[in-house]
Amino acid sequence: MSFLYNSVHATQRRCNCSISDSCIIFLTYAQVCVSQSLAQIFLSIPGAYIANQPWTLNVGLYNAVLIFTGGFIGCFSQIAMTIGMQREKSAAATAMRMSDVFFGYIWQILFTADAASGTSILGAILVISSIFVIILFKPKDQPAKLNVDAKVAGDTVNPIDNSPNVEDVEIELFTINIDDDDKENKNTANIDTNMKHESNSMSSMLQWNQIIRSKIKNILKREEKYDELAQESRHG
Amino acid sequence: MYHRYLPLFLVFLSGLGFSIQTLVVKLLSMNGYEGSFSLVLSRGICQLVICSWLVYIDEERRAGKGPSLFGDTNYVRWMLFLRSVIGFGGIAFSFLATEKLAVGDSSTLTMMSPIFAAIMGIFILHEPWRLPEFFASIMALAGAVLVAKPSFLFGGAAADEVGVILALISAITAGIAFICIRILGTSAKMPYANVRHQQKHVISL
Repeated sequence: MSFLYNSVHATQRRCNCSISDSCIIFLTYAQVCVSQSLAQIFLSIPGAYIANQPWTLNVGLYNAVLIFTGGFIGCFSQIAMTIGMQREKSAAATAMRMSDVFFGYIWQILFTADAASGTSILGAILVISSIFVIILFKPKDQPAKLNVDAKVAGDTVNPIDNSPNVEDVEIELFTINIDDDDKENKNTANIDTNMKHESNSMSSMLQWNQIIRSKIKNILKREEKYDELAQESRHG
Repeated sequence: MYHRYLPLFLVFLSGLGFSIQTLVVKLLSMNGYEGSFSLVLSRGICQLVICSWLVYIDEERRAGKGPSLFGDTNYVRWMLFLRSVIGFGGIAFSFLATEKLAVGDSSTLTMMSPIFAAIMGIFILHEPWRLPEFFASIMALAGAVLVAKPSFLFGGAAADEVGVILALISAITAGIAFICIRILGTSAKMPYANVRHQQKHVISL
């Protein structure tokens, strides 16, 4: 565990990044799946040799159909899982993934000669029950919540003359998350905005500084308003 | 309501699909053909074709505004590489275990991955460890023990030891892959047009 933690965080340090909401990582599920498919293609060949498995195209029609069908279903499942896992908290999503167990026993009884023993069934019931525990106790939507994370140009100064640092003028990240639990329409608005602007001009830098600061003030005012609305909706 | 449970439903569908895939491995094995890696290759080719098409039709990418195919930073590329290699390990070990165990037993043991994912999620992603998740993990663990039937608890009725070990390795690697997926999906994707829209508002201030 500590090895994994150290590996991931060492990579973050090398790449000047951290795991948090302010870490800009956005890949589409298709991009993730393309990468994974390449690994499957290139690693399956040496894998077959290591496991001493046959590597031939002459597998027979029945086996070929099974291999193609299994590959296609696995691909569909992988895409569905990747989309689901990217949008759901890991424990709940991985628990739902455990429906695999239930269907596994169904297929075992229907299509194979292996008997399903009582203890195995009991174990499967326990595993399935754990899925329902997580789903039933899934936390409800949070009331109005707003997080602001902004790094404003000009906050750092030149140590020599105390002037704002103009060499790396970058309004790096500006993230707004609003979960509006409105009683009328129950709409949830998620606004994640990344704004990136670079300038080498001192005046524009100071101007951006002012703009961002005023924007933050407005957002904080809105946060108070959202809190009031949330209170009203709960009591109304 | 619909949007809230859609991700969970997709994961459920994936569970159904993976169980069918496991059955296919077993059917191949029962037919005298050990084709785990052939199936992995077949799946990789299908996935490459479908997902390349999905990447190709992505309007944002076609307009040259989205991230590059393998990410824009070394960190993302590293995580993507890790996720791909570890994900392959999870699949390969799972298929090898299925050849030696019953379909249901193999699936159950492979499903230990949520426990590993949840434990690693606490330390790596700083995710909360709530009481329901704790009890759910304990229940899942107990269920897995009943399925594996270790000889020190159940005598001679134990499942194939090599198969059990392979399934547990698969569970660990799958848990790590889930964590990588979570890291890669930590930030929400925002259409570039919306970003420009917000920028326009700020400039207008």
